[in-house]
Amino acid sequence: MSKHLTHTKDFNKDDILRIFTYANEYLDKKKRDDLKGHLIINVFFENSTRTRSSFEIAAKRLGADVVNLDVARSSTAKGETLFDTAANLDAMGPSAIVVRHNRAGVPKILSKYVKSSIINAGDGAHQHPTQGLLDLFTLMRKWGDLKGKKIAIVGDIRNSRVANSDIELFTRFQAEVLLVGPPHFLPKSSLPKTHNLKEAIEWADAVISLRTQTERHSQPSFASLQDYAENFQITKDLIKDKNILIMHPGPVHRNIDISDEVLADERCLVLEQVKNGVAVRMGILKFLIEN
Amino acid sequence: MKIKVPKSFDLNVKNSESVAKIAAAAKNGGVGYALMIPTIKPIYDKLHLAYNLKRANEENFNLLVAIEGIHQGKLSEISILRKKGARAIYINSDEDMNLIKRVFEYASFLDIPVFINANNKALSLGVMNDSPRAYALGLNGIPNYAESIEVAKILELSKNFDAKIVFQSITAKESIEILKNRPSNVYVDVCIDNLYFSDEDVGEFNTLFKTTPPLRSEEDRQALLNACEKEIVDFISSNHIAATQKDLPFEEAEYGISKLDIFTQLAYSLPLPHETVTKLISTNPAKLFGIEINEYIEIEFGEYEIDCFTFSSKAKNTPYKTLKAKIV
Repeated sequence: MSKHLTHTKDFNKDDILRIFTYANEYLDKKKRDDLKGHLIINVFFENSTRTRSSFEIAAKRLGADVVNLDVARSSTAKGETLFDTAANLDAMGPSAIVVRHNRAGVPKILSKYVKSSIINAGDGAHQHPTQGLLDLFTLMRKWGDLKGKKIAIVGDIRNSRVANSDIELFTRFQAEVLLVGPPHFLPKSSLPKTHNLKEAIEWADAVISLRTQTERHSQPSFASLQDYAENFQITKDLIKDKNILIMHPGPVHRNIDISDEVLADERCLVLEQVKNGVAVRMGILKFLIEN
Repeated sequence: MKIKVPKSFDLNVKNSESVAKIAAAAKNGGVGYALMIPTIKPIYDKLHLAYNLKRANEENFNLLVAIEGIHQGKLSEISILRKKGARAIYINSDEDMNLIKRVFEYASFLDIPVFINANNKALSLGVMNDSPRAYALGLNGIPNYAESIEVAKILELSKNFDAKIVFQSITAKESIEILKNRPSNVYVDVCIDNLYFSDEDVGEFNTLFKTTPPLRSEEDRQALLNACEKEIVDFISSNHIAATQKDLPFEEAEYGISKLDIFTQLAYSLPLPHETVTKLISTNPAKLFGIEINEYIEIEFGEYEIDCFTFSSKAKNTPYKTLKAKIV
């Protein structure tokens, strides 16, 4: 088994199911001492509030010590090689290093140089494996199994690390995945694609709406967010009374990605995802550090 | 088995390191003549031109220097530079079309070839080929049409002039399709990297495969090899770039693949008839400049490991691992 989590593929199905067993227990929000005496370093080269807090809470609930290194600007931009960055962090003796970076592939490269476990908390538009796992966990808690379920992913898929991780996991767990968005946002992929949100919602058992990644666009792709929302906002009119689950990795652009009315609807699992996120990250930390 | 072949004439060595290093690496790589292409540092005036020619003279190396035909939106003094020893003009295809037309006019009366970098910058905001691999890695891709659109445009213009026009480092099968029926004043060059590697070789962020123009799909690679065999391609060159900043995130790593030290060996290791290779790396480039190559080398065939630490280039890294040919 992998010592690191840089990509969802690092974990096989059994690993994932074991993590989910832990996570189910951890939903009780009780403090434990499973990781007492372990140091976990959160190093975020890119701003993040919720993912970093989620990891910090997860580590603390397991009794670990947590240090947050805030690196506003990437030290690689100051000329430090990735080897130096990794060696310096590793020398502090952590059991795990949680890394977020705006450049794709950085956690993977760091993992080659360190003794501790590297956990990818999002790297560019590449991967966000812990978000993928918590999305999978959330759906499995609702459905028990993903086999044959229909999941539509809507939005800026091409620039979304969440979509990359979700797609890998959902297809591995035998769900059908449909990519929904304007041509601007659809990747080169063999999965089915559509521009028609109405039809996609009629087809789907769950919809994952994504945040439009305006910060990852070097050129304008849509005239405005509203112009995008015109065709791709999840609204009550579209979901009607259908038995469907609505998810979003957050932060949500209200009334762009999802309407206020849908966000308040009980079929919308956004806050449940956040709650599950802590438990799943606890499971991941325990799994990687104890093994 | 051994064969005797003329030294090669490399039409695409970027000015990414000192002339002394280029000369030493060229010697290792069986390269008798090299054309220096000014993409790393500017060469558009007498000073920059003279500096490089002087260094080449000191090294006793047959270095031909290309000048930028258009520098920062202005025409260079091509007549003066031609007289001072410039042997080729280099331009980007997406400059002002009126200026490109002027460059073609200059080129025809001065009898100096124009090397075209066919690339639409606005469509090229990526770091590798636009492909499922790029998407899986979360990297922005450069589509084939960023090149082929420019090839089509420049080819149309070329038909109206008799200047020698060389499309340098063509990578896309669509470009080859467009260039198949070109007029006799238009030439096609490919970079050897695109004959060896595809975008899949980038694997998990291997920056040794980050180069420009990018490595394309396997289908493109096969189309290029096929075009070499059918001699739709006129030249194979190295596009040697001495990139040293490789231990960085893929998006920040330097572009380029170092291989001037092994260029001729790599060319004869390709799955192409030896006579074709000789034509594409020696005879055809020499003919373009009206030069005759009088120096010969002996090539022996076998299996040889590459040790990049023996390179004379400052870039002691390369994705190439083995050779089927070595210089005796």
